[in-house]
Amino acid sequence: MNLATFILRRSFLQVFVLFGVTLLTFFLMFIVPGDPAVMLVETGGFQPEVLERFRERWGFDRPAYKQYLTYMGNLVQGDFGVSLVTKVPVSKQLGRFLPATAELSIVALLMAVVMSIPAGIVAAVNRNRLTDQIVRIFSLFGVSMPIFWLAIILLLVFFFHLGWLPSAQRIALARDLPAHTTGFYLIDTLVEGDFSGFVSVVHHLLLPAFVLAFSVVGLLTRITRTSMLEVLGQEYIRTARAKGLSSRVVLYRHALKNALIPTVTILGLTVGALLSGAVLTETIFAWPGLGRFVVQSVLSLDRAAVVGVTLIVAVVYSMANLVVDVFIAIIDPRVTYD
Amino acid sequence: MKRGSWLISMFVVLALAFVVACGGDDEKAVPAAAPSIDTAALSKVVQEAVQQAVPAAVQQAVPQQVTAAEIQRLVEVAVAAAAPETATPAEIKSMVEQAVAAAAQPGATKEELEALVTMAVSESAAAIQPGVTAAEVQKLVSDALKAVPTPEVLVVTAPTAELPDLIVRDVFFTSNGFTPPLGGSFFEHRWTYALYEGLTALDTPAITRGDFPPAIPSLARSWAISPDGKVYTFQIRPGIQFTSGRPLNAEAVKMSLEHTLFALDYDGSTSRFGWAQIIESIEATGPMELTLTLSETYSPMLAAMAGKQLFIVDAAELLSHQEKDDQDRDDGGINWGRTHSAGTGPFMIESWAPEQRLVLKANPNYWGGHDGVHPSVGRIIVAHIPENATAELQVGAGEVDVGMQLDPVSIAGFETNSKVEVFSYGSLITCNFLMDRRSPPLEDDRVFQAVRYSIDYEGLRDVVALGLGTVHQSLFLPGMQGHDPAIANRYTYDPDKAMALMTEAGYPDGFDIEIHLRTGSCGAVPYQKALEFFQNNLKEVGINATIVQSTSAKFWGAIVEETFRGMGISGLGATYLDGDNVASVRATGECFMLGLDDVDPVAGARLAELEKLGRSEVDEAVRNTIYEEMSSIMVDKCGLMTVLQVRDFVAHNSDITGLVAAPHAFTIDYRYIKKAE
Repeated sequence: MNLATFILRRSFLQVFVLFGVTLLTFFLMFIVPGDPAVMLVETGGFQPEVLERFRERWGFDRPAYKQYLTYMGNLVQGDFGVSLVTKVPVSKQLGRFLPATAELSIVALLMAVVMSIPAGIVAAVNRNRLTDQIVRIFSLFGVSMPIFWLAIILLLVFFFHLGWLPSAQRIALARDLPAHTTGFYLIDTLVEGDFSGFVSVVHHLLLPAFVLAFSVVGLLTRITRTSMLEVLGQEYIRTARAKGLSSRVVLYRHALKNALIPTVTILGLTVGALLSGAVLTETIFAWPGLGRFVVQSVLSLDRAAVVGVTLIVAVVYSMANLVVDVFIAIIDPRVTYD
Repeated sequence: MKRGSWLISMFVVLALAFVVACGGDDEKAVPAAAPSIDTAALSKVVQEAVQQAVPAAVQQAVPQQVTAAEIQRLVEVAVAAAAPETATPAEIKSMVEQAVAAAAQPGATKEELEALVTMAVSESAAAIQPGVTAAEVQKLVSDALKAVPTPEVLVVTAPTAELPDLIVRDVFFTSNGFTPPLGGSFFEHRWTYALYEGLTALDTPAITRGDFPPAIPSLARSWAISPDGKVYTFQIRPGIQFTSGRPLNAEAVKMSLEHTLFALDYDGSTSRFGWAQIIESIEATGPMELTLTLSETYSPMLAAMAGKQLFIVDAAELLSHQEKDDQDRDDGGINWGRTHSAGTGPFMIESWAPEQRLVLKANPNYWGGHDGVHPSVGRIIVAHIPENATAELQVGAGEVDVGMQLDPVSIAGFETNSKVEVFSYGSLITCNFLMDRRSPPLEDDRVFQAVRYSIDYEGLRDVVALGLGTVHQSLFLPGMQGHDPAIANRYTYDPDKAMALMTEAGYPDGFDIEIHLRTGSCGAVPYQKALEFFQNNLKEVGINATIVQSTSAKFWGAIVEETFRGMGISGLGATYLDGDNVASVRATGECFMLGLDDVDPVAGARLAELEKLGRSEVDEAVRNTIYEEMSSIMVDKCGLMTVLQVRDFVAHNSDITGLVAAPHAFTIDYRYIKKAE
């Protein structure tokens, strides 16, 4: 099986996964106790006829399976439905909130890679020495420290006391928001030629991205270290050393490539952790992403919005893992497309 | 200035003639020539006149094209302020009408109007004290002008981009958007009040001082009500424009009210209630006269008009954005209006980014409101900061000017920060313990009262609400008809009495019951803390209450379906300052849903009767009595047990001044807020 066939096959299977996601999410929303009509009908509306009118308007008076079929009928035409809370098409809201979460997650992922892989390598090379111990403590902090606590402490230090970094949102409050071109402010400010705006966006990304990254750095560092140690113990590494290759060449050309395979695999799974971790980070740093949107949607029993977000997250997650699988197949000839 | 001088001369002649004429009838009307000038008295008269007349004159002149009717109003204001106290309003009106009819011409400039009103004031003052020379009066006027507080003079200028920006922290919750009468969330409700106005308004500075005057004129300058209370004739205030530039007139108000009815029918999450159920006709009976005819007497009409449900929208602007909705219906521009503004209010929406920020800018066409105050900030940047700890740091560091919706625990953090001040005010939000009266043994009035006596109201206020509340056991709050401090404090914390009542009811060993908890708070009072406190209170009298977790949807669903059992908690807000707000929404709403009419049909029937009586009674004193009786019944029998009136608060930087409460809007009145530059 060649690469193109592999991707096509995996993409085809994704369709069934996504169908399952919609089915599960949609019907889980019916199990949640409560009536959206009661939640959303306004003052003076607690009258049976008003509630009935609301249910009729939004199709809640029909059996669940019929509602689901209607939803799926619209979905295959690209229509995610209308949010019954905001009365705005869900696709429009996803287009608004997804780029914010994606920008934060991508920067956090890059930060995590930049921090964890070198740290893992250094720890492995200096096994059981002081450097290794320091990296271990650092990793343990990363794994065990709650995002909420870390975020508040960093805000207190870097925003409140030192005044080095901004506190919240994607760009300075006194600045106008960039026009929505891509939704990625790093790009949109540059498209507008607003360099100072770009700098402001970078400043605003630092703390939330670091907090989000730190939650996975510990795991990635430990995986990299363990994997590196395993590779460094392999015979071909010993052979390379015996041939008189420099440590640098042995480490980076021969060991690292193989040691990264487990790390890259975990990195794919980490996308899910970053997206779910973003809920807390977005709340603390007032980041207008999917996290807050989905929480509000769940609380309001906004089924179309919840299913829409779940679907998008599932797509992103499965796409990320597909990319990882392809990447691993490229860097490891032993892996075949099947 | 030739035309202005001519206008002034005509007016002065007529004004003096009027004063002299009045003097002929009554010696007290015009004081005899004084041997010496009572400078203090005269200065007071002039100062009052200037303070009242000049800002009004200039704000009206901002559009530069001023009509005869507007000049008439300005002169009325000046004369009313400066003329002898004994002159009747009718005499003043008659005299002014003659003067204006003779003198006023369209197209007066701002300078001409200012001169006209200033001279009118000074000449009228001179007439009161005939011994005063023109030069002396002129000096007094000049002094008085200087004495007018600087911002009052500054506000005569239309808002410009030079005014400072105000950064406000809020917690967004988007529901139906910002166009009245929609906008279901507290967040939308708050900011709708900065964008729109009603024919009437509440005097927010007076409310901040603790007074509760009835609704005052706003977009309507005056009104007349038929003796049966069914026909309201409003005189629309001239010279007002919507943010679109369209003039406000009777036709525009008619379109607005019709659009409101359309919106109530369209949306599905709202319904016609109150006035909207009994409206018979809306007619523009003159260019600036609107007549509303109701099929029944509806006494809360003027109070309701000061609220969101009857705010005046630029219906023509909304309709210009009409499109088909997802059900292929014409939406009347409602969907556009969810994220845009089309009102006459002090601010308008500049931009809206959901879950991020709402930016309002000062309305350049603003007319100044009932007291001539224009916004002193150019823009309000409302930032969505959901996490309280983040917001607290932002306010503390001065990054945010005003912090709204903060947790009361933040106040302690601000106590050591000299740059942060806290402004608190009595809100229209109450904290209520809910009790299903059908759940045995709660159907017994003695058990109900035992629960009432078991609550440590003051402890709840001090420990749970951290002092941000007032013990208040009735939903009829200060400012509403039916408010009676004696009823609102009928029950005291008395566990012994509670035990005695329990024993009398046959429950000497208490009973078990469930309390339903859900996420949320009533103003500053977190539900969980309040219920845990309540649980301990109940335990003292032998009631073993178990807290069970619920959700808002489940909780309210059960109440509406009348399947709710046990106890719970809810914060409730009133949106207009009239006893009818409680009577129509709560008394025959939640009280009945919680079983009052089932366990005590007589009391239930009486509440329903009182609701109708209160609405149809035109005599305010009688309405007060009606709602007092209703309040008394509710306090003694309704499962909606009000315990606290919550005090709302904002934390702000010390360079922010002009904080005025707008409790009906669940916020402060941003028209008055000032920021030092």
